[in-house]
Amino acid sequence: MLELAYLLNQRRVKMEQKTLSRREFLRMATVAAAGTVGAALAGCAQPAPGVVEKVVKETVVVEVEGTPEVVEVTKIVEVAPPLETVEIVYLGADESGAGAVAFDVYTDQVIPPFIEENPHIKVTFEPAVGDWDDMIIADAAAGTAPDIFPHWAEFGRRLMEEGQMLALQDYIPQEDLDDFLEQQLIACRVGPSLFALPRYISTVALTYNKDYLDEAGIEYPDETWDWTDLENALQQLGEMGTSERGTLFPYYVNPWYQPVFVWANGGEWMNKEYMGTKMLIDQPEAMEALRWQYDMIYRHGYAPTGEEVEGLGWWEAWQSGRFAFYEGHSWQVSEFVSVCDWEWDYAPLPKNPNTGERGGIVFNDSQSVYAGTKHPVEAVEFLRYVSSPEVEKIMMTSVHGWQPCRRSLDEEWITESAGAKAGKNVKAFIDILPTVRQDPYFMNDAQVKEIYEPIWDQIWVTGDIGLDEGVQRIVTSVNEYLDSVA
Amino acid sequence: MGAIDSRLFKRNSIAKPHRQRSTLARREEWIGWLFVSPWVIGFVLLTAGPMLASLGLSFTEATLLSPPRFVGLDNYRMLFSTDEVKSLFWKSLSNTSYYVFLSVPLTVALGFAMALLLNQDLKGQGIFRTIYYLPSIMPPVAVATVWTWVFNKQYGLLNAALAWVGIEGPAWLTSVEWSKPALVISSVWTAGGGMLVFLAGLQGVPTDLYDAAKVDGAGVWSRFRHVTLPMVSSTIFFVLVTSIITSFQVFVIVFVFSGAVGGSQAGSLGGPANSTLMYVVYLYRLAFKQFRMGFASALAWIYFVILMVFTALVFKSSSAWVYYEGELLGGGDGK
Repeated sequence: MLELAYLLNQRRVKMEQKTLSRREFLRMATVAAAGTVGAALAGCAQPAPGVVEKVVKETVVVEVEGTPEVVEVTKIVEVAPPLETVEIVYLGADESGAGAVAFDVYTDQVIPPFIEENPHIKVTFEPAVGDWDDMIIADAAAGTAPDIFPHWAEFGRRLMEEGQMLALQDYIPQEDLDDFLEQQLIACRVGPSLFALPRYISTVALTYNKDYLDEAGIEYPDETWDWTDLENALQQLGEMGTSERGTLFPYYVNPWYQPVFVWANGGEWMNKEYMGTKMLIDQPEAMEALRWQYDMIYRHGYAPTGEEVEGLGWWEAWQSGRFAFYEGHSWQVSEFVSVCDWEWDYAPLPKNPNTGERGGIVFNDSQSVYAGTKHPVEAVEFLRYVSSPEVEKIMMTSVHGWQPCRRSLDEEWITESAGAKAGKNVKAFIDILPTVRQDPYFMNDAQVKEIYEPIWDQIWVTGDIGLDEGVQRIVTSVNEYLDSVA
Repeated sequence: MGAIDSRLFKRNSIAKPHRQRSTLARREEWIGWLFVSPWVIGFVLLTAGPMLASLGLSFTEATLLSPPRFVGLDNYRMLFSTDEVKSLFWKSLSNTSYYVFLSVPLTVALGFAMALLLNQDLKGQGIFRTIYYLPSIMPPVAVATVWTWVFNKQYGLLNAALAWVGIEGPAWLTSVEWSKPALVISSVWTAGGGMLVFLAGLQGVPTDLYDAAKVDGAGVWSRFRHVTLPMVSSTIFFVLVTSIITSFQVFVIVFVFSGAVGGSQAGSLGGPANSTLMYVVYLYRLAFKQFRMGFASALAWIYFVILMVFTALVFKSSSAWVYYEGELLGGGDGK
C-alpha cells in the first residue's frame, strides 16, 4: 500500500512538474512538425497576405501553324489589396431649427450612400449642438477637431488663417470649382490656397406680408420695384397699429447687412473685395444709402427703434408677424414656410433709383477638412461628396432647405425646394446672384468689430448718436487702427 | 555578565521610542497624503497647472492654435491703456465695479432680511424657506431669459408694475443708462443662497442672550443691534466675501441679455455700446472671439490680483466688526 501510494504520488509529482517521457516528447514533436508542414503547404496554395487574386479572361491572338487565331485564355492576376478601414468624424450643423429631424438627414440620407461606395471609410456623424463653434476652437487647440466640420464668417476665417484647415487645391481640380460662385470662393481662400468648399448660399430677398398689403390696397412688389416704390408702399402702410402679435411696423431695418444698400447706391464698404484695409462708409454714395435706411427708423418711423423690438433678434423678427416688409435670407425659407401662418412671399430686393442696380450679399458658410486629420485623402473624398450636387439636392429638399451653392442646381431650387413647393417665389434668391458680393471682412476683422460695433449700436439700436457723427467716429477709429497694423 | 555600559543603555532607551514614534508619524502622514491625493492631483492638473500655463501665456502673443510668441510685458502695458481701441480694461472694470458695489449690498441685505423673517416661529417655515431658496438654484440661462421678458420695455412685468403707479419705465436692455441697473436688479434672484446661510447663523444665536437683553430692558432694535448683529457678524462676513467673489465673475446674464439687445448678434456681447461689458465678458471676447489668448491671460491675472487685494481688504476690515464666539469666551487673543 505504501509503495502504491508512493508511485501514485510520483505520478502526481511528475504531472505537476510537467515532466515528459521520451515517448511523449517524440509524439508531440511529430504532431508539431506535421502541423508546420501542413501549414506551409497550405500557405503555398494561398496568395501572399494582403494580396487578392482575380480570375480574368482575355482574348489573345496566337499563331497556329502560321495562321493567326484568336483564342480566349484564362489567367490569375493579382489585384490591389482591399483598403484598410479608416474612420473619419463629420460634424454637421442645423440652421433650420428643426432639431433631431435635421440631424437625421445626415445619418439617414447623406452618409449611407457614401459608405456604400466607400466601404473602407467609416463615417461617424457628430451633430453640431450648443456652442459648437467654441468647441471646435478648443478641439483644434487639442488636436482633436472633427475631420470635416462646418464654419462661417469670422470664426471660420480665423481658423483658416491659423492653419487649422487642410489646403485643398491639390486634391480638387479647378473644373470642380467652376460650379460654385466665385464670390463665395473668395472667402474660402487664403492667397492662392483653397481651404474650404461652400456649404450653401445665403442671400437676401424682400419678404412681404400679403395680408397687410391687401389691407392697405398696395400692389405686391416685383422685379421692377426700386427704393422709391418701396418708400411709397411704406408711406401708404403708415401707422399700422397693433395686433395680438404686438405693435406692427411697415419695415424692419437690419443694421448688420447695410452693405447691400451701400453697394446698390454705387458706394463701397471697404477698399478691397475681401480682407479690406480701409473703411469707406463715410464716402457720399455710402452715406446716402445709410441715410436712407436711417431715416426709415428715425425720421419716417417706418421701422422700429431698438427698444421697440427689444428681445426680438433680426433672425426671428419676420416670424413674429409684426412686419409688412423684411429682408429675408434664403437659409430661413424652410423655417418661414413651417412657422408663418399668414400669406407672404418673396420679391427681389428693390433696385436703386439712381444706379438701377440691386445690391446682393453672400456669406462665408463653408466646410473644411481639419489640418490635423489622420486621413486626409478619405476626408477630402468625403468633403467633395458632401459638396456634390447629389448631396446639395438632399439638403435643399430636406428640412434644412439650403439654397445650393452649385449653379447647376439653380433650376431645382426654383422648382423643388421647400419654398418652391409651398408656392413661394424663391426665384428671387437666384435673380440676385449675378450682383452678389461677399459680406465685408476686414484685416484683423475681430478687432475692427470691437471698434465699430459699440458705436454702431449707438446709431442703430439706442439712437444715442446721429448717423453722421457715428459714421465719422467709426471710420476715423477703424482706419487709424488698420493703418497701425498695416 | 559584566556591568552594562550605561551609554549603550541610554542610547538604546532613547533611540527605541523615537524610532517607533517617527515610524508611526510617518505612516500617518503618508496615509493622510493618500487620502487628500485625489484632490491634490485634481488641483495640480486642473487648477494650479492651467493657472501657471496662463501666467506663461500672459507674456506671449498666443492664439492657442499657433506657437506663442514671447512679447514680455507688452500685454500688461497695453492692458492699462486708456485708449479704448487698444484696451477696454478700464471700461470693463468700471462696469464690473458698478455691478459689484450695488448688487452685493442689495443681495446680502435682502438675504439677511428674508432670513430674519424666516427666523420667526412660524407654521410653514420650511415651505417659505424652500420658496425663497428655489430661485437661486435654477439654471442661470433660464433665469436670464425670464429676466429679458421681465425687462421688456413694452410687455415686461417691471414696466407694467411701474405703469400702475404712473411711471413710464425705460428701455432697460436697449439703453446705455439703464442696462446696468437692470443687471443689478436681476441679481436679487440669487439672494436665496445667502438667506439659507444667514438662517443657519441666526438659529445658532444662543437664546439666553436675548433673554438677558430683555431682562436689561433692551427693545427689539437694541436686541437686533447689540445681540443679533454681532452674533451673526461672522456669517455676514462669509456671505459678503463669497458674494463679492461671485459678483466679480458675472457672465451668463450679460451673455443672455446681449442677445436680447435690439437684434444684435453675439458680436455685440456686452452691449448696447459696451454698457454691460463686464470684466469676464471682455475676457471671453478676447479669448474666444478674437483668439487673443495671451492678452486675455494677462487680463485674467490682473483680475486675480485685484480680487485678492479686495478680499484681503475685506478680511483686514473684519477685525473691526466681526466677532467670533471663541474670542468672546476667552479663546484666541482673549479679548
